[in-house]
Amino acid sequence: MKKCLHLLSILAFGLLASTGIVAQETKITGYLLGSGPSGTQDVLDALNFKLKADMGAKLELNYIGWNELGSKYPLVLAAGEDVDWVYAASWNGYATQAVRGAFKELTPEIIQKYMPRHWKATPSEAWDQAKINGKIFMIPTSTPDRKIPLAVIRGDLRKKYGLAPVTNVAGLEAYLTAVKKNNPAIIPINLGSGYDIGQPFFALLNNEVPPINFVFGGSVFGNYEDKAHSLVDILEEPYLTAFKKVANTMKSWYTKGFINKAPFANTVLSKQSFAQGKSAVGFGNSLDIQEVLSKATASGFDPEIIPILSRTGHSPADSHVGNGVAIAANSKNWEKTLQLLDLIMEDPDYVMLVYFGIKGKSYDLTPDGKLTLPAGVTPEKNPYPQDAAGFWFAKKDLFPPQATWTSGYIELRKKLKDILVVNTFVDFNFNPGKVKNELASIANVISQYMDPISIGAVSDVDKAVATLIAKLKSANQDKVVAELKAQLAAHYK
Amino acid sequence: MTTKILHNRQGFLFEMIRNGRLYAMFMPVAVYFLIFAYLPMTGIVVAFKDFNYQGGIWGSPWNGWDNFRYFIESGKLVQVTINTLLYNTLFLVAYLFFSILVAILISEMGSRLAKKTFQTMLFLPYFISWVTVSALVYNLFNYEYGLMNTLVKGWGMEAVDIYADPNLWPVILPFFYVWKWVGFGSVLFLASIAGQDKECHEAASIDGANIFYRIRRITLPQLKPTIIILLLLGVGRIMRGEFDMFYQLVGTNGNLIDATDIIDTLVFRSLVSTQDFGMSSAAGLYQSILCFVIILAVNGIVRRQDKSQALF
Repeated sequence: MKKCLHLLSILAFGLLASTGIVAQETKITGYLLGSGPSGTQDVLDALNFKLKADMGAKLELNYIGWNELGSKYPLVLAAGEDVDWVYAASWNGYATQAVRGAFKELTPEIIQKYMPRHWKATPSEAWDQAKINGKIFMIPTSTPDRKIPLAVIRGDLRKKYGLAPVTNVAGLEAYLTAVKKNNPAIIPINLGSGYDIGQPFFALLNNEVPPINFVFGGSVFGNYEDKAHSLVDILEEPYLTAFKKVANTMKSWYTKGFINKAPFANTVLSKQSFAQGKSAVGFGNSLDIQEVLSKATASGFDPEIIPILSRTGHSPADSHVGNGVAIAANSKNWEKTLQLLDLIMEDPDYVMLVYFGIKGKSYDLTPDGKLTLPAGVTPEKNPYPQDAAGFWFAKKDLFPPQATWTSGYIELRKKLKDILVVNTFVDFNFNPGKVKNELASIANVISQYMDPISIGAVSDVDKAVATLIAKLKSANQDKVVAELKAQLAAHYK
Repeated sequence: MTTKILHNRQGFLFEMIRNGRLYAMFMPVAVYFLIFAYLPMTGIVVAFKDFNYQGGIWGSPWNGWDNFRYFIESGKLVQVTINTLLYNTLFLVAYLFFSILVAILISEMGSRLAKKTFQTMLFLPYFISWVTVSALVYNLFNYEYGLMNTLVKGWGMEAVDIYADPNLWPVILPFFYVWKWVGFGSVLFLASIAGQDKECHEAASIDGANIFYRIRRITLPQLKPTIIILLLLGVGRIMRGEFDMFYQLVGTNGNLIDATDIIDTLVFRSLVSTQDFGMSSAAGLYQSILCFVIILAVNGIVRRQDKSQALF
């Protein structure tokens, strides 16, 4: 009899569970970019323990590796199975994918209902920035990155050669000359492929032209401080002369051996090679440089920061859509997914867990509340270093200050509020659908004809620039600019 | 009716009844290819569609030849097609030549230990990914601290800027291709040589044939079927570039693009930021059609020479 009852209760439970009356854990699948550090599973276990108690959900986390980002990201969305949320950002084709119907449309009402914390923490302009044709397809971060591009140089070498402090990349010539002359083992600037390629060139160009920033892709610029949203063609006068001047400076640096000969084949970034003491200038931004600064300081390099700013002393602030999450169009549990995201984006305990890992294992707090590594853990051995796990959309205002910040870095952070200005193009999302063929050709022209100019690897600057202009013309750059202008006019009417 | 079919000895049903068991054994293979090779082929239509996620492959709107436009308008179509064809021909010839050479050398070695050692050493690069090879090559060739240039400078000569000289790459790329694949290729030929009748060699030796004569007259002629099959298989993918190799070793290097650009790298460079299924499928379709035409042509030539050697 007892056995019978037991059996019956199991049956009943099964029946209830299958009809959803007894709450089961809802499995929610998410995709982040990059690859999880070694401690990811431990953090995920801790996270799921909390999630089960708080909302009866279980997060399954997957990563789309950097090397397969371009191919796998659209594939994950196209497969459409078993994806609830995915990392989304303006720089990762948010507008393109949204137009193709990859993401679920969200409304302010939905956000208010399922993500009350995030709704409260996020200013209304963030939602405007996320709008594509008037509809919202992503949840932007409540705290955009406050970062600027910068270069770091070795203060110990600068002082050794008796040079004055450098405040601008254009003022590096004397430093580079001295390093080249006195340290045959050090390459003054050792650029890597990818991020580094355009850095010195555009740092120099910033001194010569109005405050410019890419409006779309690698070829069209806009003046980010101009309320009229004007485009700037740097390959036309009055800017062409400045462009050629900078190209000549780069060429002379390249010829003098200040820059490595083959950046395109070098997979080591300039900042990494700087931290290892193999080069004398590193490029990065004020967030990802922290690690480099602490390593360089430990090696006695006395790193000095040179902010890369426009002539006006400004840098465009990141938009809210620079980091965010989108809900997959076919997500079955989108309500629960939004609730879960509300926790990991805004709840202090959750944010610390997903961003810094488990206290005592991958981070610790000093008595005065600063972030530090637990005793016995070195930066190399940290199982869950900050930024590495890809939860970049979490609320960054909740992060404690860090014990490793150098005095120069703290000073820079104080200055940031005066440096960062609102990019006037920030709420504009270009829809490239009509000119995708032209954009493909232009991308090709940029890598073949612009990249060599920007590292200085051309024999004749005038000829190279003329070729670049001609090739852009035959790739129908004009058509892209016309389409861009039309969309800008429609957006800001 | 049935008798009529049975009497018709070429009929389909007759064939099925007579060789039913063989066909049954073939079924799993047929199903495999149907599912993994023939069904996906229908996805080719995406090359003619403006893909969106709601419609998927079948529901998205047609856009004619629009996806092919960038390919033609980039003005590089002819150049990359020629590059792809030339590089792959070079690779194929060098690969076959060195694989045969290595296989014969190893098979003629007397010591078993030497055989195994050389074979293992030559096979090793096969397991190294192109990413790793690219790091090796960079550390070998780079201008500032590369092994080669350090040696060159040590001898008092001028360092060579290899990554800026387009003329060197048609040599460097086949070299690394052969370096990576020769171990694998030689195994195929070694297996074929191992199957050859030893008595022929012994008889020839007794008759006074020296080692070179034996290789030329006995080993090589017997390798011909293997060579032709590998050649045809290689030709079948001759428009498919070794993307990993080009992308990792050369990178997106403006100065080398004209000399090292193949269809795959052009497509990658143009579309990596656009992420458009239709446009990349268009390029894939173009490659497939060219491959198809080329393999038909080469197979046709082989057929005319010797019907039994042709693939089909």
